[in-house]
Amino acid sequence: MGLRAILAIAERDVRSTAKDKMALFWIVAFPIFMLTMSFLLWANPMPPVTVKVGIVYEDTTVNWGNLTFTAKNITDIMKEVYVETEEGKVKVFNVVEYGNKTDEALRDLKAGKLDAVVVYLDRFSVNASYGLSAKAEIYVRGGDAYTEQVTRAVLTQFFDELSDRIAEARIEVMEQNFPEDQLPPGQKQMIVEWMKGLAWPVNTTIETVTPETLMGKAGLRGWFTIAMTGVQLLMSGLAIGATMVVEERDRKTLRRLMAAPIGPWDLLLGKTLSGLVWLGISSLVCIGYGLAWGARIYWHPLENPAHALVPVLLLMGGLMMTGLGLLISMVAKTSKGASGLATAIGFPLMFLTGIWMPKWMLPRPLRVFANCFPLTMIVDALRAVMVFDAGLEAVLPVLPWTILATLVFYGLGVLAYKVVLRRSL
Amino acid sequence: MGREVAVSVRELVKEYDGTLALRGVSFDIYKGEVFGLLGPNGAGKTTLMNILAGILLPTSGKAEVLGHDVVRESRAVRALVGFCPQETVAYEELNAMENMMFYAGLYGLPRSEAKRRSKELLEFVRLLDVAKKPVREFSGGMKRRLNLAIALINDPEVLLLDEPTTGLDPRARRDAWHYIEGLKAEGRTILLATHYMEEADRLSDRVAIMDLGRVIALDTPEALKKSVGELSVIEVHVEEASEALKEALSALSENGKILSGEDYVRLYTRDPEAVLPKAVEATLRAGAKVISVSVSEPTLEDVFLKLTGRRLE
Repeated sequence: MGLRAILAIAERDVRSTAKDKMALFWIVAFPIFMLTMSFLLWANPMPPVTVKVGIVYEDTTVNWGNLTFTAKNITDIMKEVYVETEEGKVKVFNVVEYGNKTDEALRDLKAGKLDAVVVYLDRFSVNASYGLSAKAEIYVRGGDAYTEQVTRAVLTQFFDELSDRIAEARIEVMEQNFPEDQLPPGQKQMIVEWMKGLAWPVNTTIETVTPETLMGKAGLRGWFTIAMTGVQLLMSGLAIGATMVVEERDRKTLRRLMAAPIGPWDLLLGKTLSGLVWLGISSLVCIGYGLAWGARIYWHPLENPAHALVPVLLLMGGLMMTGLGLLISMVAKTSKGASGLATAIGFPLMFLTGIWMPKWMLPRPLRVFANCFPLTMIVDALRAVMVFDAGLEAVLPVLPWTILATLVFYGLGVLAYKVVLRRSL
Repeated sequence: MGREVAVSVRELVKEYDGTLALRGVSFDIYKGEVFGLLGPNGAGKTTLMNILAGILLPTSGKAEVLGHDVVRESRAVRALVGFCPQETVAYEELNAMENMMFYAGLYGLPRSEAKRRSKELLEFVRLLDVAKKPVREFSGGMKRRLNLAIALINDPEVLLLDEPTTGLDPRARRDAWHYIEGLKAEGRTILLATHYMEEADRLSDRVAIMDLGRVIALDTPEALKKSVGELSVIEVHVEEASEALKEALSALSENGKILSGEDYVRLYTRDPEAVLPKAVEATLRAGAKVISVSVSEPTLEDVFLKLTGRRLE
């Protein structure tokens, strides 16, 4: 093997690719285009749902002047419920009042104009104010399971919360009005606690915890940035391997190359080196472009040793896919055919291996396949390290299997390369 | 004292999927000589070139270049030989200088030396002025000149030129001959494969005529032409050479052999003065319109016709 010859082959290949507009499109423009689309279309956190609620007052006490808590008060509260998002405050309820016209509200619900109807039954306000059970009926629009579930959840949570607040207020009023001098010492506190037990027999709290890096746009953009890097390793790696020999054969330069004092390994290593250079450039384009859009990407190899393994993971991914590409070249007759075949194989893999689409979106058998696919392991490890800032614990478990897969894929690729080279001369 | 052998080929056989491309070829090429390989397409010239260039392995037989076995010492042979195949070997998207530098790298030349040598060679083939121009903008003749410059990048003692002028117009071909003559004057050993008899005749010291994987004749062009016999060639140019004309002139030719094309017929005779008027008369009788009639000496094409009964195409 001659280092000078290997470098000459790599340099020539890099120069040729730099002058090939189509190759540059796939290496540079395609990831930029895909990332732009993804950032604009998909890398947005789910917006909160606004529930359109119709309110009906069958309650004849709603306008009594001396009540502390009426159905109208609840409607006013509903109108002021907001959730905070990156884009600002979003209203939870869009309230439409129907007076006492229940039929009209239910007609609108059936017509799909409303998500739910809340009917405050008679004496709701007076019962709520005087410590009795205040009754309301809630109708939720069915048909769309997702909307139905969300509407139910939002309304249930709202009325649970409301109920809790009313219970709390009632207990406070009772506590203030206890004739303390007629009770044995400590008895008052015991009664208060017992009443709380009646109001909240099981006291739970629910908090939503989202992984910090996926919270908001920056995390999602980081996820897509690494996904695109994986796609480039997959698609470009396959194409580089598939066209390595057949392209020289099509150009009719192969015979002349092999008439120089170089061996098959020099050609293979020179071409692989140039392929890795372009894959590296493509990865940098993805990451740089992601960062420019504010994607959350971590890179501090001096503090986190797992980050130092990122180039190793990228190298393994590149070699693995180049090896697979070399296997593809065995059945390709022309450079265009090889490139087309690489795309035909790479494109479905992009979706079926969980590299571009999240694995949870895949059907179960495909999820098993994706979990075993070595490039997916590499991309998952890259995501864990670069988006979630995980440590070595995210990389070391997959390292043995990915190293083995790289050796096997590239090794098989070398055998295929030798066959294709022999056939081509 | 015998001349020093640069290339030695002994009983070389090459079989591709049951087809014999070479059927026991043997010859020696002496140092400093231009050795022509003349034969039609499919004669085995390119296969022989590929074996000598170290690209293909022979099925059997032996070949040595400058004392190195082409199989066992393939890399050493490839380092000593300059190979110029018939296809354009330059990368069209790169410029001439980038191509030269690339091939220099394959031969392990240090960068500074590669640059110096590339400039020298581009000047030799008159491409230095366009060294920075992409090769895709070159004419066919310029690409062949660049091919030749690339073949010389390692300053080879032995040069293998595989049909270097195929597809070139007459002017570009004469241009290429001029460079080959220059290389011969430098004392390089040149193996020139061609199917142009005029090229082999003009450039070669000796010519091996190949057909169907065999060397069927090997000598100097003069000796080969003499082997046709003490015959003269009468060439009758007509508007259209009909079958009737060919038949009539065949009757006047020695052994009945003629060489014909769309607008000419060549016949052979020991007595041109007597046969010439008869040939003209026969031509007119056959209803052909005569454009010109000439008498000349035999060419290598006539040699091939004599040996194989077929034209050299």
